[in-house]
Amino acid sequence: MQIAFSSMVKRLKGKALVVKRAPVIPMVILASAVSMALFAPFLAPYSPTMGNLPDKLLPPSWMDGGRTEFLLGTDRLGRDILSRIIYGARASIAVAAAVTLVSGFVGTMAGVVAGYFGGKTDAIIMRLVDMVLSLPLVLIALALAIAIGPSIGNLILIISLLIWGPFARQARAETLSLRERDFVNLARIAGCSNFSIIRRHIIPNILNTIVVLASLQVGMIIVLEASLSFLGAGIPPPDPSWGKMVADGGALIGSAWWVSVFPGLAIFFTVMAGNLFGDWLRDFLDPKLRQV
Amino acid sequence: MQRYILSRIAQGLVALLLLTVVVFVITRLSGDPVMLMLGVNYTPEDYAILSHYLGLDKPLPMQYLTFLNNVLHGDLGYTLHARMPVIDIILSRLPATIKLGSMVLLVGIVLGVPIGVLAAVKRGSWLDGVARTLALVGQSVPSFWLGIILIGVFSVGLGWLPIAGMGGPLHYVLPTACLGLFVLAAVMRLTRSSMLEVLDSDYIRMARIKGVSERLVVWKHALRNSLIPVVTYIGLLVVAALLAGSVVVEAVFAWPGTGLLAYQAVSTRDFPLIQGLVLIFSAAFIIVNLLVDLLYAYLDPRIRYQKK
Repeated sequence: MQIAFSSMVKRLKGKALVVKRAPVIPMVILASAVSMALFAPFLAPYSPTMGNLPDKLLPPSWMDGGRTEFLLGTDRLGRDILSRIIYGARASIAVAAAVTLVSGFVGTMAGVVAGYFGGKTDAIIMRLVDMVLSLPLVLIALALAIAIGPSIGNLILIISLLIWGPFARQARAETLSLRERDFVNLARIAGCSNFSIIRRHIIPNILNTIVVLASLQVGMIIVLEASLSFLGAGIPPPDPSWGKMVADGGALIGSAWWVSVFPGLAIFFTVMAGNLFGDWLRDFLDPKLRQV
Repeated sequence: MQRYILSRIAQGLVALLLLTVVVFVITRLSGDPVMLMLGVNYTPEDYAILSHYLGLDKPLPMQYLTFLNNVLHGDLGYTLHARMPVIDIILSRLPATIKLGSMVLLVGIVLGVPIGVLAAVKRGSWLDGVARTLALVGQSVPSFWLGIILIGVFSVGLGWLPIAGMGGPLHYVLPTACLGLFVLAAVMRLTRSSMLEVLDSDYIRMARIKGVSERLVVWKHALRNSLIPVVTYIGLLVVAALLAGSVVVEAVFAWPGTGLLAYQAVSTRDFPLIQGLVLIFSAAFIIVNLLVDLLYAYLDPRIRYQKK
């Protein structure tokens, strides 16, 4: 008891230390991306889809020829870049959140079932995971998006289908070791059903790891969504998405750099904030994942 | 060891078989190929004749077996638009991708491994800081955007380098930098964390106690063992990120390789071509995965004995 208590104090002290080092800037960036997605109609000064052609390709407001009402300039159709970036956050955040939830849930369930029941179930599920992990991600996502038609729902489905593998592997590995622990055996002896052991004893114990893994995947999901949109297989126009905006500005890089630079910066900062936040969360919740 | 090799090979074969099923299903999801080929004006008789000719009137399992048989004979069908054998087109584009991929790997390894080692040895120094920042940026920057920025600065702005396409050595600079940053970041991060772990081990302490020079400890004793995860990663990367994952970079730089081919196939909805590309790259990936696992077992005796 004494030992347990002192180790708990040690752990709490450790946590307090890490909380102090919480990544404020990444958290602020992530929070603003999420609020842009949630409150886009209130934050954006203009419509993201309706432009005024005479105002096309205006530079950012601080440059020569820039106008104060268009802070980050306008694109080829005279649409306000800032408004489009704010609305574009919706695609990135919605896809990232939904994919993380869906693939995290499916992958964790598959991994827990594989690890808990073992044998043939395990073999089948893990072979499936191996196969999914061996697919060329961008290529398959592109092919699928074209095959079933690009839309935000399909995009979520496709990306989830392709990235649940790491969750399954992690969940299986943790379940394998938990299964042999005394409290699980005691629960079984006490007459708990498999379902309730999984729900009450396995899942709560692997949740930390899964949350950390999910946070580390978010950045990758955002880049993947942006890449698909960039290649023309993502969010269908005219709804703005950051990847599509970069693509629109690609040919204009010599004359109107702001069209592609700003949405690209939005992706870059959001993804970097996600990665930094994930790193911190890992140190905080689950230091043993460091090795991975 | 023999049993391990055999079971890994069996696993690889199962994965390959599963893969053909997945590709087959995707193809069937993507719409009716008969309608695609016939266009707008056709009679029900035309439809029946063409489906019979293509074998699409047979039950699905039969169709799958035919498909599998064709694939095993290297027949991936014909492209929808140019009516050329899919396999020929893919093979003709492969050299460009392999050349770019080799350059990227070279840069990634030659720079990534030493920086990773030094960052681990001088942990917490400015060099370590630079390395970690580089890793973070490489992990976070979207490659298509980086490509556009590089073109904007070095090709359009300064006029030093060609904008796109494949030609002289200068054409390699920007695509290599763009893909290379990602590979470099990953190789460096892995080398660093792996080195840190190894440097902390007993045999390194032992080597130091014995008076082995620091240079020898780091570059020989420690590096050798830290390279195991790096080798695995590079092995997987060769096919995964460089052959197929370079779709985005090849599209940005109009690099005439398989990535650009995939992009073109997708934008023209050329399903047989997409199917062929997916099949070949996934198969290559599974095979490389297998080889890497075997190499891994060879490099690390612990795995060899454990899995006996």
